[in-house]
Amino acid sequence: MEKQTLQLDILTPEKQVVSATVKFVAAPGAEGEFGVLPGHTDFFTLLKSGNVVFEDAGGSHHVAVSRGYAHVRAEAVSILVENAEKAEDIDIERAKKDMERWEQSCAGVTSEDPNFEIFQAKIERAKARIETAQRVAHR
Amino acid sequence: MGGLREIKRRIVSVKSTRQITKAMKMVAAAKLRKAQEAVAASRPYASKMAEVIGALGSVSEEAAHPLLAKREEKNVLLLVFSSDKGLCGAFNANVFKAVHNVIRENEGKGIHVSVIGKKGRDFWKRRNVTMEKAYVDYTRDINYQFAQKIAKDVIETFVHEKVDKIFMVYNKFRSAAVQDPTAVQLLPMEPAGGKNEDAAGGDMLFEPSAQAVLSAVLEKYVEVQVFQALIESWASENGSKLVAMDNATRNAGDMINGLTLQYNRARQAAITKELIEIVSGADALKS
Repeated sequence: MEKQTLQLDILTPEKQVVSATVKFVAAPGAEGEFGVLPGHTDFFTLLKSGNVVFEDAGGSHHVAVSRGYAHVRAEAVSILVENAEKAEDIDIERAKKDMERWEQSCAGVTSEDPNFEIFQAKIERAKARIETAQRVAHR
Repeated sequence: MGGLREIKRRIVSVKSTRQITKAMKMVAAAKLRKAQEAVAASRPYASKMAEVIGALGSVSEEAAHPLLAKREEKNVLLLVFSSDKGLCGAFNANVFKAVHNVIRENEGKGIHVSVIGKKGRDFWKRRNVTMEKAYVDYTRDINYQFAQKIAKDVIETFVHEKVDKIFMVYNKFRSAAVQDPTAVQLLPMEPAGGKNEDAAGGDMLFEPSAQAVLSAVLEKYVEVQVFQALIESWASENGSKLVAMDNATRNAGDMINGLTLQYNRARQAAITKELIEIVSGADALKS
């Protein structure tokens, strides 16, 4: 019988956001969302910014993450990103304001502008935060 | 009597100096705690990162990624971590000494320097080196974004073949009292040595592709290394400052004790002198 749980770590350079024993993890891969159950094959992927969901004994939890990558093994998942916030810590009003602000600054630049990438990433991140927060709010 | 007042004034002035150094010591202690927490908090990420690089080892050997490119070393860049403010003991001097050692080892090559901190900028401005970038007034924003910015600049100089090798020189944090000035090679990245990793690349899946993953991870790895150096240096700076200010406070205390003794002696001497004058005056009247 294989182990029925996964060790999930969500890490940012500034702190460890999540360290938990979980039954299931879903994350936004660069090529589409993927889910991981215990016993998954070794796998390495880049992540888009979005929403990570995991299920532990106490139910499911949501975490907003920025771009990064994930390392999946049979018994553990490590998610390394620049920013990660648990749904309950997100200030949705602020996230919305952020999004508006970045969209405005993005409106004036073309895709050749070196800042374009940065703005896009900021918008993506704000969007991810809003979505994550809303998911929790709607339950 | 003039001497008395003079000593009194000095005591007051040393006391206020002691108050200042004491306050600075407290501030350094608080910041040190924060910095140590930051160092501890960043470790899981960094070690995970190293593990991943190890797992990618087999891929990185085949790949001719620009960050792994070994070239003839004509120009060397030193990324020097110093402080913005002084009064932190031998902190900056130690780093500069380490930098001098690296320069000596790389004699004959073009030496470029990028510095973090005002002290470093002022010091290397006057030296015979090419200053690439100087990041000053950084103490307020010691965070990952700042490290990313530095990493981006260094990667650029490396990829454009302006320099062929990059070292970071910083004070590695051991404890509040002990810091090791160290120089580590940042680029070209040494291929990860851990070949006997359990996750030997062979049967691992990569998405979108091993190449894409590798280049994303390598860049991140540079960022993380810069970030680690940055916070270690910050912790060292405050540790060094703490010790320096502790010594200064103690010295001021010693000085106050000495001066107080001197003051009391002088006062006693004055009193004795006055008494003698009175007694001898009385004697003169009697006879």
